[in-house]
Amino acid sequence: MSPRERVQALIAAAADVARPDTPLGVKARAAWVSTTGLSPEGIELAIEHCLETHPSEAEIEQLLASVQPAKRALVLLSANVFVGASRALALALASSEHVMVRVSRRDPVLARVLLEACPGLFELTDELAPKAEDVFWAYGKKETLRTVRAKLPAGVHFIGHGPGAGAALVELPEASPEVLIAQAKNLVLDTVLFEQRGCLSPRAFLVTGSKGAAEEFTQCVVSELTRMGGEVPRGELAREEEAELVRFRDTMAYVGRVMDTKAGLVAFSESTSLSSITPVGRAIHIQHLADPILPLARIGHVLTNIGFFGSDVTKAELLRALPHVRIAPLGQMQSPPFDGPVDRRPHL
Amino acid sequence: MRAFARGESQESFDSLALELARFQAENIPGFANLVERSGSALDSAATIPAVPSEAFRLTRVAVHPPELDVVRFETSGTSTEAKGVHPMRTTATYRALSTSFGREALMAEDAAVVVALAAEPGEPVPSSLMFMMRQFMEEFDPAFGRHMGLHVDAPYERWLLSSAGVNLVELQRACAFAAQMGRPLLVLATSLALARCLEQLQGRSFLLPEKSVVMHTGGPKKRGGELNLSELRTRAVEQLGLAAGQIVGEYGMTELSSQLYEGTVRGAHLSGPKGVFIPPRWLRVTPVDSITLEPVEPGGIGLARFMDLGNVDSAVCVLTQDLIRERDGGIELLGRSPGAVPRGCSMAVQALLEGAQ
Repeated sequence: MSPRERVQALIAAAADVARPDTPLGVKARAAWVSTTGLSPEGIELAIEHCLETHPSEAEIEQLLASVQPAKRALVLLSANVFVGASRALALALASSEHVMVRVSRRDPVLARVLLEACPGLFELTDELAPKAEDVFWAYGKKETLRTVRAKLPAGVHFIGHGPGAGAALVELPEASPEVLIAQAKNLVLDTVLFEQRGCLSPRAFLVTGSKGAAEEFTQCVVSELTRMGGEVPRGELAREEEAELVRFRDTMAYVGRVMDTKAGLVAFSESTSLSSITPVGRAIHIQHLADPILPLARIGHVLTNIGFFGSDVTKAELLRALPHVRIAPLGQMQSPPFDGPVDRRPHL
Repeated sequence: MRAFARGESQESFDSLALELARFQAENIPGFANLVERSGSALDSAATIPAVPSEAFRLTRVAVHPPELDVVRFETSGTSTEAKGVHPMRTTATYRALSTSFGREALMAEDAAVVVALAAEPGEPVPSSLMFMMRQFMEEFDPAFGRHMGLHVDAPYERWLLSSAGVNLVELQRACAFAAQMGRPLLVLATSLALARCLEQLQGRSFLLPEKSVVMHTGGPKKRGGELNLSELRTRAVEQLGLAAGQIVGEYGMTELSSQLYEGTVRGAHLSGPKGVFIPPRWLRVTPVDSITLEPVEPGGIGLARFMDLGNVDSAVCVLTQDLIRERDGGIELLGRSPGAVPRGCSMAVQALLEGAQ
């Protein structure tokens, strides 16, 4: 098969898994409930928005062009967001017809069902044995990546992708109620997907414009989060995650205002700089400030993307200040184009 | 409050704590919000909600306006975007409390020669630790500063750390002076500075005068790795010729006005086993569950919640991220709460904040 055919075969397999009525779709969903901690509705939401099943031809072209051909491609997967394996495999398949994959013990599901859907497309292994001229894709914590890289034999092309986070920036000079509601809905969607555990998930929320508009937007976010919580219940939180939310709640009660809904937390404060990063688990801290570019640039090296609603001028400024960061419309932070690695920061 | 600290007040700890909490709720809208959210009627000390220590980094924690500040103590802020600030409109309480309990913990005799393995702070002193070190020099060392209106120069430098390291020559001079005066040497240090001092000695002994005390403070984090505090203390005892118990851990933080010490200095008023940090009578430390914020079962591990009567104008109750366990009238320090282990490919909050540096 050609690189394009391999990638297309993978996409077809993903489409099979994405359907709730196929045997593999049923099997994967049952497994994901226990491996992800997400609610069944949360899993469905992520499949709908984030599992790449219908990329455009142009996107596939870009993805193919984003990799170098290699004799063998080795992939070390982490317990990433549960759909993440799909793009990781596509990149490897784009670069080589011999793809060997070691899955994470915590979340092996997607790679396994994709292989079941398309036997022989790649190989699952417990042990990766890289040798010269291989390309080695690794996903995980920075420390893990450093350790893996240090042990590689000479001549292996290593591409490491570490953890990251997203931010949201909303410009509200004069926004109509309809716009506020629509953007609040988008922001909440980005937040609810994967319960903010993804490397594309928003963890900083900046709003510019008048204070009145920012407060109105915050109220819209509260309403949308409450509504979404009814449709997509929050998944299980680890004890430590819950503790961080409690701490965040009390800190924000002191620092600004906090609205505690059953579906999650929304806080509002006025800031002169980026003052707070939220914990995971549906925590949104709207920080109203005048100039968002510098604060975002200061955390630029951990940012993978920015969900943005605003003017072209500001977007151009963001692109200049943060050349490695994807800029996506709000509501599409977790579904970037299928055009290469989601994370465009320099490889580790 | 100072009368309470001196043992001259009839008021109870709880009634003073409540009085402070009500005063702070009246004057700090953020604390009033926290009280309201917690559902507390501020009718018992146990219901006073704790202010998370992050609040000191994110906003002003004070009953008074900035123009009345006489000091703004800052956290070291090495790993977060913004430094935490504890503003004070008077240092009288801080001075009285730190000196009083420092004397109980560190001084077996009336006087000592006091030096600090720290750089001389400028004015205003930006750190509560530096402020306290200078205070100890003034209060415990008769050779300090002014006497009878005249400036008296001690025959040794007091601030012994610079970018070049610890000034061992001046440390030697201080030792000689202490020996000549028949006084112990009190060395005040961060754990990192003490480690630096020992590194400079390269295994050689540097014997301090008899009955000398080394007070060290600060966690195990250092640039490029972790400091093994137990190993550091063993080396300090050996290389500096200290008697067992004469190296004393201090626990303090910018957000508090009070400190805790190990009570191991022979002949000092404070007494307790090694590894147990004892609070003064105006400070109550409780391990609490990180989710319910209720006290844990006896002997259990929890986050340290401090009720500090010294925090008159800021936050009488502070919740830190340090894990502790109650023991023998004090607490054991068990490190910082690790926070949520990232699942998926997200980043931990702390790692993100470090990224914001």
